[in-house]
Amino acid sequence: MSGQGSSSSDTVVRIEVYLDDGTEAVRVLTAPPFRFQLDTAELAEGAHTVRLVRIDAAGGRRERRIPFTVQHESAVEVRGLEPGATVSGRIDVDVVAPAAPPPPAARPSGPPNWLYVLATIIVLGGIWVFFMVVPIYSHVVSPPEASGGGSTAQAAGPPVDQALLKAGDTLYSSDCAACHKPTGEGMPPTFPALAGNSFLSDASAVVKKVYEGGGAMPSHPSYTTEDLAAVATYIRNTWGNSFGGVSVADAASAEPKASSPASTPATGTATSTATSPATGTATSTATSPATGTATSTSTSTATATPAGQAAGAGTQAMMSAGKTLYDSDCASCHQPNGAGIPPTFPALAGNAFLSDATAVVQRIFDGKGTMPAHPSYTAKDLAAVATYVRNAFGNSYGAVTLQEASQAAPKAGQ
Amino acid sequence: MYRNDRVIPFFTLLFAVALFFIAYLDGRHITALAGGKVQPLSVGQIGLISIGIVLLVYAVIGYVSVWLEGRELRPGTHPAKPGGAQWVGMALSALAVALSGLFAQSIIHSLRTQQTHPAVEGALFGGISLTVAGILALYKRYYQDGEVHVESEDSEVPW
Repeated sequence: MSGQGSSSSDTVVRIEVYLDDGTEAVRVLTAPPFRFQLDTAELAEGAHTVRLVRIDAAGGRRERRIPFTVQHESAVEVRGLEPGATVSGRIDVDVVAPAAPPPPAARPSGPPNWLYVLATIIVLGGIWVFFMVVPIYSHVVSPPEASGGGSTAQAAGPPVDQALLKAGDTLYSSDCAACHKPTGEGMPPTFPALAGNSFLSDASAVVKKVYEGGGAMPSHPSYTTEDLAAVATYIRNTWGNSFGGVSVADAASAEPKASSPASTPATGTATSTATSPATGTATSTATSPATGTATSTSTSTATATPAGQAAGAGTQAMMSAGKTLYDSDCASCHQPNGAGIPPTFPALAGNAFLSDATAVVQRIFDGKGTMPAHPSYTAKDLAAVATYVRNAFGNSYGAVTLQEASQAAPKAGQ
Repeated sequence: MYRNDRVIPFFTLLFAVALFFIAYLDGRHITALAGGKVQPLSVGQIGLISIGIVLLVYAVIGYVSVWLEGRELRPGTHPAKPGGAQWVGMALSALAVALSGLFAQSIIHSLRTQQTHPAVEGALFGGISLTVAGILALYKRYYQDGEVHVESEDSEVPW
């Protein structure tokens, strides 16, 4: 409770506070703020009056009375028996203790520390285990020396047969270099480098990989054991590798399914004698890649270009040049008969994508996905290969002119 | 009462570290495929590292908030209590000056030799940035009064 002087122009000298009918002031306030404290605990329950007397400088006195009632808090609350109630007989009286103040809110606490540790172990450990256990990642965590320092550990390999090495060079250039590159550096991660690759230390694994393929690596079912030995010898002993030679006998024992050289004409270009690979694909009935099929109109695929466009003398030259390039650079993946190895290497026979000459040229030049780029191709090469794939294997999408190839791949040389 | 949570920053930090870890192991895998020859960062690694950096920044913001404001915010004005922070501030300021001098020296050295050392210069500049950030955080924590306002749940303020 507080008291304060009136707002009249008279100067307030003091304010006296009287309680009930007392004649002696319980408080005398002489300076603002005119505030006092009244302890009602000392007063009896019931009606009381505070009397405030204002005394100004002229000696004038004005007073104000403020009646109030004191009621002390009871120690207990009683229900069933009201004060002043009239009762008789037995009555139920409930005595309720005053409600205790609510306890302070518990300080929120986070999860226990062991949960943080457990989560860390699970997340990071899971990642580590994934890279350790999944087979394709298992060799990542092997010591770097095992994968990198191959040249010193390769010295004690079998002797290298120079004839096989030379034959392997020819086969590699025609069938492997498009992806693994002539320098053996590959195009990681899709086409791994062969230079310094520790995988090559296992000759039988190399032979099986070349013959059977796996992942993005196409199979080479037409390879004889001599071809396999030649390619394995070449890649194991070139670009700084010195893993040692692979004999024809080694290749035969590693891959018994491969035919021996005696059963097929000796050849350094396996693609020229390749038969259709036994595949279950819809394109397995494609005809052999004879250039004469360029003029065939037997395909059921709708063609935007009249088939007759492919029939000129210039086109025949383009087809011939295109076939040469195709056999050396494309056939190892898309196969000599254009059947490809789906889904990694799509079939070209009956492929509707070939209807767009511009897209075909750009895909050959720029590559995409597993399809390597051919930045060394001139516009003439691009036109030749595009013409060949669009008009071989039963296709008849029409020829691609040098001008069209130049427009589709302006970066290509002339 | 408002809480500065530590659970979310922890798991954000954990996932950031996990992404960096995956990028590292992926790099080792690519290196192994390339015959032990270290390759440039792949697109996948760049993506993993980018998301990891975003998560790392979120985690740092969360932990800095806990450090600056405490785990609980209570309404009212909270006067700063400097304590002995001035010594730490002086040390950090001296460190920032020293790093700045080294950074300038490295630039001059690069100009003289016509040979840049991006790793050294990057590390020095990163160190300067982190030191300045530490000084600012120190000022906010020990020299700037805190004030917390509250809005009732049914306030019209739309947050």
